[in-house]
Amino acid sequence: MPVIPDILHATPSRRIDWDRTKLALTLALASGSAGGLFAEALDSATLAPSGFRPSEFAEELFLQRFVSQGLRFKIAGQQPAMHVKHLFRLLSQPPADAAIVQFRRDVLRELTERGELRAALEAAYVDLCKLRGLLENPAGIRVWDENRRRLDILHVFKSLLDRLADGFGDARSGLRRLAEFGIQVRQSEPYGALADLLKCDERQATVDVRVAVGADGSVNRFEVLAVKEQRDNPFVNPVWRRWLAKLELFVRGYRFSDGEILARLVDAVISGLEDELASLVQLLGDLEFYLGALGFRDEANAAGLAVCLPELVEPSAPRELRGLFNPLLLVSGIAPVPSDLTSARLASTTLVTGPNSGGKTRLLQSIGLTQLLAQSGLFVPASSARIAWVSGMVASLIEETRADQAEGRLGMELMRIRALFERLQPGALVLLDELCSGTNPTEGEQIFELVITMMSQLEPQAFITTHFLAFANRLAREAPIPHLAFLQVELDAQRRPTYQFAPGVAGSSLAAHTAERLGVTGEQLSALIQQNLRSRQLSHGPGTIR
Amino acid sequence: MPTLLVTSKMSPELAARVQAAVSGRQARGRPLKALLRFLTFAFVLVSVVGIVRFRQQRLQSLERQRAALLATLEQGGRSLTRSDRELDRRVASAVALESSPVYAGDQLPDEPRRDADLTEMLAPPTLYLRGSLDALARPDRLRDVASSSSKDAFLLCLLAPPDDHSEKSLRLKASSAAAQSKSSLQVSAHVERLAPLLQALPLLGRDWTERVKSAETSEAVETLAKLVAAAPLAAAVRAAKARQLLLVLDETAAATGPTELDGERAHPVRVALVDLSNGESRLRFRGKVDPSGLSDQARAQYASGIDSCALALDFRHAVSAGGRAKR
Repeated sequence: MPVIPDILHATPSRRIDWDRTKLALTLALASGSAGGLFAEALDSATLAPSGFRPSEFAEELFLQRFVSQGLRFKIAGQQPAMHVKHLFRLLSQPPADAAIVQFRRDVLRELTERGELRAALEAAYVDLCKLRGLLENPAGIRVWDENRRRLDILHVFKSLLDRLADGFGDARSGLRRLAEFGIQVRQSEPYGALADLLKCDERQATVDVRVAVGADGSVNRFEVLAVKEQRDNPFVNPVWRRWLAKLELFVRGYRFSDGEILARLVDAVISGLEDELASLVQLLGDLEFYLGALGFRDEANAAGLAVCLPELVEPSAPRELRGLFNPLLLVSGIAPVPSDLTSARLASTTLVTGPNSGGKTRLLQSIGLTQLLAQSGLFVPASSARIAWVSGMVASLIEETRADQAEGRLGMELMRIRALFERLQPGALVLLDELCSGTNPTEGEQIFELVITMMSQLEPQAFITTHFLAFANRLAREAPIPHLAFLQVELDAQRRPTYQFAPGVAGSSLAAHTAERLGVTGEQLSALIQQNLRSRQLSHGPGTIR
Repeated sequence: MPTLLVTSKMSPELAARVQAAVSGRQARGRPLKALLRFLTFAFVLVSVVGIVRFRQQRLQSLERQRAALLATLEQGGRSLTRSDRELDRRVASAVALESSPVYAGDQLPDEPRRDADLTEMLAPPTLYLRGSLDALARPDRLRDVASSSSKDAFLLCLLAPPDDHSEKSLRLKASSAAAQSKSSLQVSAHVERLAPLLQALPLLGRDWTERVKSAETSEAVETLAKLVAAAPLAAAVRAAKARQLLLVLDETAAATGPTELDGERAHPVRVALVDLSNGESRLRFRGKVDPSGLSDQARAQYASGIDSCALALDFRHAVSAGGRAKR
């Protein structure tokens, strides 16, 4: 039974389109150019079953941006080109199978704990990138010696196999699968043929020479002492036989050259290793997944932030997120302020109140991304975390006004609520920003209450921001809905937001502060009016003011 | 078809893959290309083999032709001694000596001889040559004269003289000689013309053998073979065995007098019998022929033959008489 070097899943499987990839590899090996071979294979790879639908949250969470900027990594100072789409698909559709998540967490934990394994993984990735470069020839450089290119591919391929076999032999996690794959290939006949061919390429024959140098440093005599051929190498043939083989190939329709013989031998070796070569295409995506996670960890650490593999608990367990930070701020070069988030129960509806620009929306983004990372088996942006499994995620954080929208603001809001209930699964994570803000508060509050009442029947983990403070206070006071929690943005002594969150409902949205900060007080607006009047008088002359 | 790229050191799996790499998964159009190349290669191979084989056959054929020709020549010249091979030169010397403008005088036996003695003298293998003195005086004309010289009425009458000197008897002999009758040929069987010797003796020499050996083409050998086949080798060998030369030299006729229809006219004739072993003349005689005394009928048809026969009788008579008899 062939070992599949799948280090993303507890049960290894071939996730890429096997036949298509093998055909693409054959064409790449033959033509010297196969731009996008790896990307096409990885982009169309199948994923483990997932309850998450990216269309319901990815855009709201800026997931694409996080993947492309947050999962970057560097090897020896170089930042390789990753397959972002593949990583995006992996992250946006976390597996429903907890065993897969645990498998990935084990791998990641071991890579974190054992530097030599990470180094081996990075070296393997560098080899894979070399292999990809040789196969795809992305720069479109003209290949003058096709055989040389294919031999170079085989050299890298063998180096990679050796690295996998030797570098992960003592791994305890799923990484051990790489060693098993490498060892199994090394013990196979095609690998022996590969090694023999490369030996033949490196040293088909050795010539012992003696060079006599004169007093002036010039070479006076050049004497061949011995010529030794690798007689036991299956690819070494006597000269006369090679010549006849050339003749034979010519009759068969090939060119009459030594290169044609080598090409046929390389073909024979490669054809025995097609499955193994195709496996490496898939492996490249797997390595990027882990190296990306490690890169995120490195970047967070460099910014003085901690990440962790969260503790996965039951939904009824208390929520506890320590040092939670917004990874989007981190990858944008802004120092995020970590905050702690605790509540009595994970499966609850939490209303978040506080001033504008107090970090409410950023909190929702952080929670969403944390959930995705946790359920993908990766580090989460928190120093410690207890997270419960969710069946899916629905996020509504951005509400843009579009020219072609059919309804007004309230109408769009109601359509949004309708769509939410259409797709909401029990036990999902719901992230809603400023629900029902498009109508008068009295009517909006009624709809708001209806929504959270209905939603609670599905026992979601919901976070909803709102400025309906009186309404929130009433809910906190009367507790008409079970498992309802409240968070408010903390303010400092100058009533400025600290980006920390505490239980309770905010007393004010501090709109006046925001208005003052943005220049919308009575005095400021009056000054602007006077300024406009003066400038008009100067341009039209006296008496023109009516 | 197994490929030469597979070696005995390869594992069966690798050998199968190498075989497949060479013959399997062929590109579109490659079978046709391979077929064309195979046919081209086969054509070239067959052509090369054909050319080599053709050349070998031609060489073998050439060798066979050459060997056959050399065998013919070797067989023909096997009986020839060194002396025989040089006979043409001795003949040329003798002819040159006897054809000097100034006649050296008769050389006849001092004593009268019996007829049988002359017959005995003429019995050894003899070469016969008759021609004009003017032509034979020039060595370069010897071959031409020899070609036109045949066993004529003089030779027949010398070896088998008519019963009498009458015109009728002479005419019978002349007609027999002109017809090359069987009886006349039997009588002169031991006498050979010089022409075959001059024509064919060189073919039996070493130079000719070398020429055959050095012939490079079948056509060249064939040409040489045709020449050999056309050459009177047997007659040449017989001629080379001759011990004496019977030479008849027709001196230039006088400007006056009639000329017969066959060109005969009155003129002196020298007859010499030369020993070819030492070049010395055994007999020398100078007579004269004159057709004027012949009847009109005989003269019109056999003037030359009758004159020759009469000359032979005169010669025999002179020898018998021991230098006294003259016509």
